[in-house]
Amino acid sequence: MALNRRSFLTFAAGGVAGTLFTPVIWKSIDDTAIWTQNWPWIPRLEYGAQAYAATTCKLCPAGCGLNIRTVSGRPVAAEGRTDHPLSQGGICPLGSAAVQLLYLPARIKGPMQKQADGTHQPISWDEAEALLKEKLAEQRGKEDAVVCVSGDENGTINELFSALLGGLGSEACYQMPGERQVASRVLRQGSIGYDLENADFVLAFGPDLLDSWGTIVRNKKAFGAAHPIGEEASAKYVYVGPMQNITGGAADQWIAVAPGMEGVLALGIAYHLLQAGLTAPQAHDFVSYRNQVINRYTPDFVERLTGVTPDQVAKLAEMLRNADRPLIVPGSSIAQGGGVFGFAAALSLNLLFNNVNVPGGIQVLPDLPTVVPGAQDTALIRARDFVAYIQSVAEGRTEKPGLYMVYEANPLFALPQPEVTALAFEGSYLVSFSTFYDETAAQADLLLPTPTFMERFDDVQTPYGSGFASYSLTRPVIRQPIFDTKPTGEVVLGVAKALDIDLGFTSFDKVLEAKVSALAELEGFLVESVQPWEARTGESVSAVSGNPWRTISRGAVWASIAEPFPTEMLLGSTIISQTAPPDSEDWAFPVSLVSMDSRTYGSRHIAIPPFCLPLLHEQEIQGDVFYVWMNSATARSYGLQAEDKVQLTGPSGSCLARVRIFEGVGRNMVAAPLGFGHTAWDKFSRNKGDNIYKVLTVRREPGSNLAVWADSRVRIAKA
Amino acid sequence: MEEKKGGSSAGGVFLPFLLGFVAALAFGWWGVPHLLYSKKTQPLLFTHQNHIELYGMQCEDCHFFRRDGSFSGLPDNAKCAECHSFPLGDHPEEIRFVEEFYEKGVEVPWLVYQYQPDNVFFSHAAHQEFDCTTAGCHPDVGSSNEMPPLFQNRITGYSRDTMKMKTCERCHAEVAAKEPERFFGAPNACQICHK
Amino acid sequence: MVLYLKEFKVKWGMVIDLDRCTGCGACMVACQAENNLAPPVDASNKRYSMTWMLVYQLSNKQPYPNHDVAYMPRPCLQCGKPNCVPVCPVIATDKNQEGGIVSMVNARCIGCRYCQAACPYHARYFNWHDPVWPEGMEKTLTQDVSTRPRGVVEKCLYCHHRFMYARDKARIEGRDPNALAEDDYIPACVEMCPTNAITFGDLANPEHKVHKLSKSPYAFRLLERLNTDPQLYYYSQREWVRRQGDNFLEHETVGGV
Repeated sequence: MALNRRSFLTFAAGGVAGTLFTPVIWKSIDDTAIWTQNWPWIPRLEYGAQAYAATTCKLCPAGCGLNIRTVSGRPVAAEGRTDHPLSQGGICPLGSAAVQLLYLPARIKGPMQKQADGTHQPISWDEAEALLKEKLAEQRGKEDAVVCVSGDENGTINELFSALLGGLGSEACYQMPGERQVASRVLRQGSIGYDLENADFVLAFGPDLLDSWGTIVRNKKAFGAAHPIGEEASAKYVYVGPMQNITGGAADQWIAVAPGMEGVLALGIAYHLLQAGLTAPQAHDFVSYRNQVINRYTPDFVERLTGVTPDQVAKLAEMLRNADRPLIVPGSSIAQGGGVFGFAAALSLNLLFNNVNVPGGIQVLPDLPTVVPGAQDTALIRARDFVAYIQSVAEGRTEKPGLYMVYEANPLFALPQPEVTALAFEGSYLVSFSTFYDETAAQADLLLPTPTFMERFDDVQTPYGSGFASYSLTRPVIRQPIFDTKPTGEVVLGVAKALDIDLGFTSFDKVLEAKVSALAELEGFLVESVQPWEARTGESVSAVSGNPWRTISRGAVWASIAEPFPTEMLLGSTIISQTAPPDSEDWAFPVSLVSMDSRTYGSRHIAIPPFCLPLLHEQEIQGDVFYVWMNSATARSYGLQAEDKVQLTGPSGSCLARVRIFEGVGRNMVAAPLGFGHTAWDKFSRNKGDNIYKVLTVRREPGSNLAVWADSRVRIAKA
Repeated sequence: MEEKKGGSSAGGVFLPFLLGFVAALAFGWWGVPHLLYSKKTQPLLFTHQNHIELYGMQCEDCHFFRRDGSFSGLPDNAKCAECHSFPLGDHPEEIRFVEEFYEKGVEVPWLVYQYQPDNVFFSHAAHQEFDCTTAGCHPDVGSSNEMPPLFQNRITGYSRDTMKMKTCERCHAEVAAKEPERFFGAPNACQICHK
Repeated sequence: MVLYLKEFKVKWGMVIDLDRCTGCGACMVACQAENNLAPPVDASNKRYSMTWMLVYQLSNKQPYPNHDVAYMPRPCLQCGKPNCVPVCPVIATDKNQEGGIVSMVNARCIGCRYCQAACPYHARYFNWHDPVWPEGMEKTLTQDVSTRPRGVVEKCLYCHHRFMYARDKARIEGRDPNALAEDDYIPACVEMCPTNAITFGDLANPEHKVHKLSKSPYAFRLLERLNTDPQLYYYSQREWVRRQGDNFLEHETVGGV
């Protein structure tokens, strides 16, 4: 054989022929195909043992139980908890997106200090806590120079804050506005509860029961249980409110009434009830109430103010009278900024049906005992009007505090008239404990991030809107927080010690343990097979014996249906007459603004979570422009069409949006969603839409002097 | 020009062809696999046979079904630490486990011979009736104190011994032929094995 | 192509009560978390949104004050005669497993989107882009559903992995995996719904609730006249809602008693 071209070619031919008898060609094609399926930037799954950790959600005040599913200890999904009475296995869209919040890009990864150029630089916890101590010590002794505002309505941590402030000479402990401010004007001690499960007719005057008010998931479960598929409904839900929000849409009937006017309709109904002979002999002011209602809230007057015809009002009264266990739920359609008038007026109807502290009616629920020595009375803190305070500081009528502490709240975004809030905060030292880089944290001088509720111990005491007193723990799902965060309870205890203020506890766990053992002062039981509303109708439960810390720390829920104290019943005729809305038209701002709150948009201190973004449909947001909704008649009267760019202008600010024609909005009203227009946070929620809080305007309700804004008015014009 | 002899002409073509043929066969069957697969060893030496015979353990002590029906697979540090949270003897590998992995909180990165892609769902519970070592799925590591090396495909990253789909399909079809009701007539319905 | 016309002994199906759905979207979020979908930065362009479960808003189209609204959650309807199966050139999707869930093998899909075009309910989604998780969020991926690269179609599978786990649990406990109890296997959306609007079960089993509910005069299916035979029924006592289920003429009556 010669080494020439022919032999080379035949050698090559032999090679090709031989290759066909090997697996090489097939294998290389197969392997390449597999290689194309394995791009390294697509994450691989990590396998492990699956487990569930029972905890309680703190993303909003509803206090639902959550089961966090973990794989090898890594949280992967949040599910409902079948053994928690406020969840019963259900979950809301915000809770369902909770686990992904652990890794939101907007998370603050460690303590930070604001620099001269406005950026935040990381510092160590030692430095941060020393700085906090130094700043608090500077304000010591000066009256109310330290202000604390907490967005956690239900946590025992508020006791630590008020005790700390007390030790510094300050009583300025506030909560972010909610329904409690108003409710506390009507009930001084304890809170008002609503036994939805046992009612057969639920009439809501404003509260968005099924989406953003009170004990949201529990309300939905009650609604669902009352309307079983394929069977007769056992309760009727009627919604009186400005628009067909989630509650208005799902209810059996929706009656449109402008925000702030719900109380007028309630008294219009009372008119019929009183004419029909209903009385409330147990109320001391029945006679004056009756006179006021019969004289003022005649069908014509009610029609003029609310637009609801006399027939409709009479029909509503009749439906109430035909019910066995009617329950009237008062409140604001955005669970904040409502006035005492509407609340007291709607609440008074319950007394006409004598349903206080009976199954299916209004319940007076006890406040759980305070355990931190020196803590203020919960009722006092709840009753304080934070918005009125902020306005007063901004206007110079109250001395500006030296230091603000903000916990689980975002006041620089989520309070009406944000520019006024900014003025009130300007110049004071701002400390934020926020988990996320929200608008308040972006302005804060010192950031001391608390971990998410899945990474810390915390608790939820009776949420507002519940039908029973309750207590459940928030337990950490992972042993170590993901980032360099520290539970605020520990920080407060630490700084108190450094300031020589004795709060009586060495760690926050001990505070919670003390709270649990204090529950023995009340008559309660652990929720197992009998739900609290079933206990109200006679199902027997065994009382808690001994110290339930062991079971509660493992996830058990404590509840109580005991009546705390005899309550003096008043129909509220004085309050109602003092706070009645003026009978006037506002021509400068002719359109009634209906703000919408929904857990789809996050909560008061959590921006829209990434997984909730697909829930917003094309007529809620397009790119970075959001929509305001009005019915076609309203649009016509202002010369607007669908998709028009408009500007909503209020007395203190304006917003840009597009028009959506939605017939589920009342006459001469424009509906706009809250929770948009973030300027901090991250790419998931930043710069989407505009902040409707800018067009909410605060006024003082006559008679109560409460700051109210749920009934704000705007001008609307093409932009 | 000289005339070439006919016989040598034919041999002149045949021999290079044969050489090329054989070379290709050798390269395809021996050379390519040698190049394609990298030999990897387990991060720690685990002495299966000793643990079974000397320490009285059984397979199910570490490789068991959990209560929810899933299979625990390879044990994690917590399982080993039930005995080995501190060195029980002075075997260097055991000390390595304690010092380099357990105390540092780093899971031992065991190599899986049968590692399947993420889109494959395999249920050990459904295959309980087959013996782990004789059914042809797993190497019999239990009867030895050495652990076979893992031959990892450099292109795909999978092990050479990772079962291909056709092996699963064949067995499913064979079982269905014998017991038609087992798969209700669809032994290789896609979603039985894919996720 | 396998006989997708064969009669299944078990037909996993749902009955969704449109009078009880409040449109909150908890089902949508639960589905994304359960099935390892990537969080979208801008989900307002619905052509790129991956929403295996999608809640539509229905309207009776009456002006205020007679307006009524309803919400319709729409997962894959798992049709009895699916349009998407016969058009797939590589059999990446099939309907051959007992239970009747239309399968989807993402790895086999070549991304031609013929199935996406064929589905009359827009229940199939194409990965136009690679999924992107913010740093660290990939640690919240469950171990139950593979992650999909760009270029493949995906759709709701009624949480098929939960079906498999329920069968495994039955095997370990010595029960028959082919005879699961009604609450052994529940998809994530059904489990999370706070108003219990979705009922899930075996349509062919007279002991399951869905069996009876699917026969109710208030039950209807979407685009019934396309003959896709979906395993998903909707239920509404409101006639205007039922009328939106298909293109009915003025004079045609729609269910009810």
